[in-house]
Amino acid sequence: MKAVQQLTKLMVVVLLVAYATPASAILTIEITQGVDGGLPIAIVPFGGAGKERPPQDVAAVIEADLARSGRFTALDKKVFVARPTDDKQVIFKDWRIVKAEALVIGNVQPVAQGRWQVEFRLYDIYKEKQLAGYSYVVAGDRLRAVAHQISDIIYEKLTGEPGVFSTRIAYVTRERDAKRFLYKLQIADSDGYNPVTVLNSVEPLLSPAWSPDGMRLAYVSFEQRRPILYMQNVVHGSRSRIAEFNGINSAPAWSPDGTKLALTLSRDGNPEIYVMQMSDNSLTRLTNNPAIDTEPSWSPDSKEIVFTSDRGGKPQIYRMRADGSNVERVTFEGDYNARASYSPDGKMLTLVSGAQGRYHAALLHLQSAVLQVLTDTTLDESPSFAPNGRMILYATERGGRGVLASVSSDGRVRQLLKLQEGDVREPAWSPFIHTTPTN
Amino acid sequence: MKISSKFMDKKILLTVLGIAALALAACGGSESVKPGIEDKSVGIDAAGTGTGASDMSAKGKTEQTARAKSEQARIGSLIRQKVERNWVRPAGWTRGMECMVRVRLAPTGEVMQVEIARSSGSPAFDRSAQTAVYKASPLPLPKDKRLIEDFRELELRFRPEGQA
Repeated sequence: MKAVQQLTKLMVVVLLVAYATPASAILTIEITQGVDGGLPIAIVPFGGAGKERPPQDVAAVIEADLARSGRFTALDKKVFVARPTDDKQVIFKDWRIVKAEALVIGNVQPVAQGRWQVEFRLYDIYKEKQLAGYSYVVAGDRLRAVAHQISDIIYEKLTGEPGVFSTRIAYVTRERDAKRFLYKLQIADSDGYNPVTVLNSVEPLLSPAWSPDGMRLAYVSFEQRRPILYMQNVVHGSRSRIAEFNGINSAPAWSPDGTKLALTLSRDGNPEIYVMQMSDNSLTRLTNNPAIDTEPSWSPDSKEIVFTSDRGGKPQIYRMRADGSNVERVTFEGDYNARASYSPDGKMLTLVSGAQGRYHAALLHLQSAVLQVLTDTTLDESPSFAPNGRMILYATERGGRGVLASVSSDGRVRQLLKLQEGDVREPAWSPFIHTTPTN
Repeated sequence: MKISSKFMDKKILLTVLGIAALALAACGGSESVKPGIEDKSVGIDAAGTGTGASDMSAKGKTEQTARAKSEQARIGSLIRQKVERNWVRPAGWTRGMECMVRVRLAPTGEVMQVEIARSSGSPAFDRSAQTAVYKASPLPLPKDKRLIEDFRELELRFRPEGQA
């Protein structure tokens, strides 16, 4: 037996030697569960210098932007154990304690002639690394714009996708004076601030639609007492009539390359969908059905158009090729589906879906045909995707008047935008607008 | 949860154990061992066989192997739970997304390094996985020092389940 013991001892040595090659042995552990939520981010109130206070709280604008997107959870400042405003004061451990994954710090200081210098830095707390850091010098009235640009940088650094905070929204307001209604076509920042009136009218305005370059709006005006389509440059305000046929001229939708406009005309007796070539105003009729066909919207690849039709008895969404062929119905749930438009990736539609008198902003996943209701309000209208596809802007009612709201495209985060004067309707989210950055 | 391990040296071990078994059998040892029995547990345990020659009967070894294996599974499960508690799955994840991270641990369980070994294609998803591991630091390790080495380098596969 002794020999055997010796042999086994020897073998133990052999075994240990054979085992001592760590690279050969890697355990794999599967991680499948987690907490669903926004990335926890700490945004420290920005520092300043001198007595003068900036006209805008830049950090607060950034925080509201990021929270509204649904992809971030801004941590409560009450739990912060430090309030750094410059790089040297940042201690990563302080932020691990509060479970922040990212940190934003900055400061806003007055420079000459009413101008301000804004600096910010973004950190990854666990990699202990600065991800971005920029400085801007701007006039006081540009501080919100800078805050949105910073939000865009943070969003892109942390999600890998472009942010939409510097984009714009268009919408129509209605106010009442002593005798009559006043309608305004307005453009504002993506959070509803800084509204600029593009057009005043005492007759209704409807359906603003952004050109793909973000420079023009097509819309319907009743100023001639009947619906006529106009196009207006949003920078210098010049405008022109683009469709004033007999009957209805409505529901403009730009083709993705901006060379064509799909629209609804009743010049041949019944509302049908046409495509107008912008270069020569020539028309091609796409639908031919005794029912109402309206609200066209192009797919991002320009190959298809969706529209609303009541040809089945109730308004539902249909899809056809861009030449009008191969019409098929795509919504089957609920007794009302309308105002559809494509997500930027072409995989989803946002639309208004109604049943039993309740109308919700909703998503239709085209491949699975699953309809996902996004809101718990009941009078939603005019939903449109943000140009990155991650949020949806829509109008709803609050206290008997129209207000604007946004919802993350997973339905998780909903928020009313800053309340505008009057009744607000018909919002449309702009495309990405490529302007030279403020610096 | 699933823990898998890949042993390049499995063949060597099998061969050595095979010889051991044959040697024991040839010497008329009362415990008969079939090489096939060792096959399943052999990968995980070898360190445990270093306890001493006194317990080197094949049966003792098998038990030790099994104990080590179950300890490894237990720790793997604790690691999984701790990382899952710290994983904030980013908005917009979809079923089928998957990323693999390679983790290096200090002997105390502190996370030293988290590298993306295979990207999901989504920077936000990859980042969330990396951050989850850092947040979960220190990771649980076995009490038995000889088992710790197995955990110094790990692969974590992030593959969300449930409702997106």
